[in-house]
Parts: sequence; structure tokens; C-alpha cells
Amino acid sequence: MSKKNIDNLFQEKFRDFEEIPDKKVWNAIEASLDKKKKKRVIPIWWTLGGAAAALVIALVAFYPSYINDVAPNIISDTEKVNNTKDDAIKNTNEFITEPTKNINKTIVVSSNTDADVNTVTDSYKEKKEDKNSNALNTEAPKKDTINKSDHTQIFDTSQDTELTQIDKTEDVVNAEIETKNSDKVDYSFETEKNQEMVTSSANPRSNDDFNSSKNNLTEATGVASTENSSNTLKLNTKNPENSTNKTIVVDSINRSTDELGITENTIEEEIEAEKKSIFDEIETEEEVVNTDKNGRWSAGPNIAPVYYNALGEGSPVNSIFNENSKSGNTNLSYGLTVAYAINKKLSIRSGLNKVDYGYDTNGVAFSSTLQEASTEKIQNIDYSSTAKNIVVTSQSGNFSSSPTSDSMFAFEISNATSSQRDGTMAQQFGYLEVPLELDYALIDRKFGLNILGGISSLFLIDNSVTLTSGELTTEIGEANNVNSVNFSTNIGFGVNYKFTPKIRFNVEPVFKYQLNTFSDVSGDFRPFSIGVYSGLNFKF
Amino acid sequence: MGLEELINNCKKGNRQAQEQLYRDYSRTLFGICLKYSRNRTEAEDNLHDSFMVIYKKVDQFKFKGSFEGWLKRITVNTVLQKYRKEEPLSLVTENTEEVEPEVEGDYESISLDAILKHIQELPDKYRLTFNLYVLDGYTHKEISELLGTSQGTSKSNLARARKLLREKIEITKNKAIIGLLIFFLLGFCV
Repeated sequence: MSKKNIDNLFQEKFRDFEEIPDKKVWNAIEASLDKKKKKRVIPIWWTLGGAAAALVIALVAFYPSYINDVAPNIISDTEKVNNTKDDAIKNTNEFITEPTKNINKTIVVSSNTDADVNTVTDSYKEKKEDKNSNALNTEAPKKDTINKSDHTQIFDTSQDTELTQIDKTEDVVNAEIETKNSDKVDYSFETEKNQEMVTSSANPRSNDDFNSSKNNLTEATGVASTENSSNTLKLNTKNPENSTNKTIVVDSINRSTDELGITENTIEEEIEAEKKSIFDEIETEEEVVNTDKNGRWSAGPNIAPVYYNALGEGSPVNSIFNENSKSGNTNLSYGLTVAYAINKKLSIRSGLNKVDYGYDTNGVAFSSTLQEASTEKIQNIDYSSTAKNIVVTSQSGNFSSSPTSDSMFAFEISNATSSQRDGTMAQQFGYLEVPLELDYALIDRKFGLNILGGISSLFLIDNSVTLTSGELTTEIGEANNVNSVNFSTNIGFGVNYKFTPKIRFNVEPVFKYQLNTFSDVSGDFRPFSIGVYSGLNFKF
Repeated sequence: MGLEELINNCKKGNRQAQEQLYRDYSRTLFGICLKYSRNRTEAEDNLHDSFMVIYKKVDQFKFKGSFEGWLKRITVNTVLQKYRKEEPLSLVTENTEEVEPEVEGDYESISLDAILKHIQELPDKYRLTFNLYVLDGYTHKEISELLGTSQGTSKSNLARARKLLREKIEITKNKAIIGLLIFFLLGFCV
């Protein structure tokens, strides 16, 4: 027979080859299907919970209407600022008019009416009309016709009171008016008209209406000026003495007007100054608001070596490994961080990181059996189809259901010299991490220092348990007691260097303590990770 | 329940349909598993795993081509995946030497159980290659892709498989002859 015959032999023998499998196979399939269904129930809740958390974070961080809301807020702030400005101006006016409530102030404000101060415009308009009705330009002589030497004289003669202060007391001003009026009386009592005027204008104290007294004074001044302009010549021709007196009176009145003018100018300047400062302040505030608005969001990539290990003696795999030494692995974490500055010092941040965690359980012995036996399996591991006949034990050999030597043999029959291999068991997890952290700046200069704390949601995306012996590695399956969503509490600090105000380089060592990584842990196994996150941060 | 309805119900995860599918096809697929596996227990494992894959992927079946063919391919692939994955732990030395088998004789009398046992006792790669090439009609190119080896290795594995099978069969045959002789001798003596 040729070689074809042997092929034919097998082909013929195995043609339509069928065999009825044992009933236990279907039972096992059914059990697996049930397990799969049950398994799905919990992760759905976890997933939904996690998804909801992620959604909330995303909404808080990126909800567009929130950004839109920011603008109206700023506008309202600006309005507020404007209101404040108005208030400030009003206050200034009140400050000018109310506490003093004297003629000087009223006149001053009225002469300063010019546009800006709306609240007082109406009353001043009336006053202006009053002034205009007298057909006199009271301001002209105040500002234009009187030279500085006159001011000096006036101060010398008017003495007593310092008119440069805005917040003069009523009494002082009244006293001043009295003084002036008494001067007028001194100088002008010879003239009936003047005397009348002076008398009428000398009433402010008895009359609480300062506006009217101001008007009186204005009228008095106006009339006096009129007399100055009209009568002086007459007096000059008729009675030189009177004319001198009158001139003096007029001078006096002019002086008093000058005083008022000076006071007015001084106050005007001060108001100008004050206004300016208010506007400056507003501008500054707006700048601050703008700066804040512009610089509140920042984002950037980060990368970190992450060391993973656990506190306590225990094993999430099986109690037989509780006493085995565990060594943490260093893996990589990378992702994006988005931060929103609540104020200059405090910012809230989130992002998305891919992170791998892993640790090794040392002193693990493993072997292979021909027949799969459920008692020899570790319950916390879902064995992959290729690893069902691998038996894993601890080298310390305290696994109660450790297989007998009869049922153990080497991985390959041809290499049956040793029945078991020693090595390490590595458990590896991959997560998507969504942190939510607060960042407080202790130092915010070129070099900055900040502390941070918060929580992370970790979504399991990768999970494997592998065995390694020398250069040989095989995956035995995945742990079934790892929660698909777990949380960690994070605390750390960061140092940063600002290349420009908008670009920052961070280095942040962060300690993360995991809260519910495993649903079933043997002994005391509390995993944590330490990562040194470095990255760039761009403000926009 | 027609086949299409059965498949559609399986796609919905209907347990009755899944059980029906198992009843209809488990014998055929178990036959494949027995040929490709090391022993009956592993064959049962592989059948289990294959059905799990089938239930998972049944919604990918688009009614193009034979459903049974699709099921067989999944089963073969599941088994291959298992033994291919175990490759790192397999310390079998790969023999690339081309061996021309010269097998002759009458094997008609050998039982199915016996040759199944011979196949199962072959080292993984030989067994898989022999099954794929001889029993399921795969080419060396396809086998090399499936097992991640070269075509030369595949050919070599096939030759080695044939040689080993021949040896095993001859040993069995010799044993049978010896047994027969002893039987006659004993009968003669008595």
C-alpha cells in the first residue's frame, strides 16, 4: 500500500465521523450560559453608574450652555459694576451734597453738572435756569476773569475757612457765607439795593433750604455783579467814595464767587479724579473679569510611570497565595487633563487616562493535568480555554486540593522529567481613569507649587492573569473578582514651571488608594498606586 | 423549528433554541473535537468552548453558505486556538526534516477507536496538521497561516505524523498478530 492508502484509510474511517458527547457537556454549557447572564447583571449597573458619573463630569466640564451662561453672567457683573459705578457716582454726589448740604457744594455740583452726573442734572438745570434768568454768567468770572493773585487775596481776606476741602461742614460754610455777607454788609450797607441783597443772602442759617440759599447767594452774586457792571460806572461818576466801596463790595462778592469757583474747581478736580479712579477701577475689574474668563480653562496631555502595589498580606487570587511575596510593577499611565479655574487659587479638573496596573505573586508552582478537574481550579480565575488543564499552586504547597502526583505531569509529555514549574503569577489590569480633583495653588509664580486631592473612577478594560517561568509565559485566564468599575482616592502635590502665562509644565507625584478593586479578596489586600504625572498645560 | 428560525432564535439568546442547536450538531462537532484533541476529556472541553463561541458569534452568521460548515470552521478554529496558544509551553522540538513515509499494509481491520487513539496520541502539531491536511482538506499554505508556521514545517509535520501513525498502526498490527499466534499456540497446546 502506498502512502495514499494511509490517508485514504483515515479519510474513510473518519468520513461522517460522529460521536454523542456526554450529557455533562451540555450541563456545563448551560451553566456557563447562566453564569454569563448573571455576570452581566452587575456590570450593567456598574457601567450605568460609571457612565452616569462620566456624563455628569462631562456636563459640568463641557456643557455648552454653561459656557454661554458665562457671558450673561459677566454682562450682569458688568451691569453690577456699572451700577456700582452709578452708585459710586451717586455716592460721590451724595458725599458731596448730602453731608455738607451747603451752598458751596450745591453750587459746585451744579457748576459741574456737565453731562456725567445725571442724578443731579434736573435740579441743576433749574438752578442753571435761575442763573440764566438773571442773565448772568456766574461761571465766566469765576473761571476766566479772575487771576490767581486774586485767589490769594481772597483766601487772605476770606480767611478762616479752608475752601479746598470738599467735605466742609455746614457750619463752616455758613460761617464763611456769613463772613462774606458781613463783609458785604460792611462794604455795601450804604447802598440800599446791595443791602437788601445782602440781607436776603444772609439768611442761609435760618433757612434750611440750602438750594434756595444757594440761589439767593447766586442771585446776590449776580445782582452784585450786575451792580458791579452797571453801578460801578455810575458810582464812579457820582460818588467816588461809594464807588470805591461798591467796587470793594463787588470785589468782595467777586471774591466770594471766586472762592466758590476755586472750591468748585478743586472739588471738580477731585470729582474728576474720583471719577477717573472709579472708571479705572471698573476697567481694572473688567480686565480681571476678562482675564479670568479667558484663562479659566486649561487642558493638556500627561504621562506618568505608575507603581502599583498593595498594603497588607493577602491575595485577590486565592488564599493559598496570601503568604507569598508580592512585588509591584511599574506601568505607564497617559491621557488628557482638563481643568477649570474656580478662582486664582483653586481649580477643578478632570480628564481621561489610560492606566495599567500590575503586580506579581512570587513563589508560584504550576503544572498541567490531562484531565480538567474543577477542584484544582482557582475559583477567582476564569480559565481561558487553553489553560484549563493548568494547575497552579503555591510553592509553600498549602493548597488543600493540591493534586496528587498521579494526576500531575509536565507540560509536555516529551519533557516529563519534572512534574511542576516554579515561577511567578502576574496579574495585570488595564483601566480607563476619569479623575475629579481639586487643585489648590500654594505658590503661583514662575515656579508654582500646588496640592491636589480628589477621586477617580476606574473602568476596567483589560484583565489578565499570566504565569511566567523563565522565558516561558502563558496566560491562564482572567480574574473574575475584579470590579468593572472602581474608585480611588487621590492625593498629591505638584510643582510647575510657567514657560509663558499660557503654557505650564507640571510634575505631580500622586498617591492613589483604591477603594473597591476586588469583590472578593482573600486576606488583607489593599491596592494603591503611586504615579509621577508630568505634562504640559495650555490655558485658553 | 426550521433552521433559519432556529438560528434567529439563537441570535436572540433563546435557551431552547440553543439546546436544540446543541442537540442537532453536537455529535458532528464532537467528532471534530475528538480528532483534533489529545483525549476525550479535552475534546469535551473543546466542544464546550466551541459552543460558547458559536452562541456568542451566531449573530454574525449572515446565512451565506452552509451553517454546518460555519459551525465546523468555528470548532476547528477554537481547537487550533487552544493548542496554538499553548505553544510557548510546548517543548516539542520542531523537526523540519522531510520524511517520506513508506507505509504499506492492510489497515482495513483496524478499529475506528484504535486509529482515533493513534491520532490523539500524536504531538499537537502533527495531529493538527494531519487532521487539517488529510481529513479536512486544508492546504499547507492555509495550515501554515493557521498554526503560524512555515509551509515547509507544515509538510514536515505532516510527514512525521504519517510516519508515526504508520509505526503505531504497525505496532498494533504486530501486537494483533502476536496475540493471534499466542492464541493459536495456546489452543494447539491445549
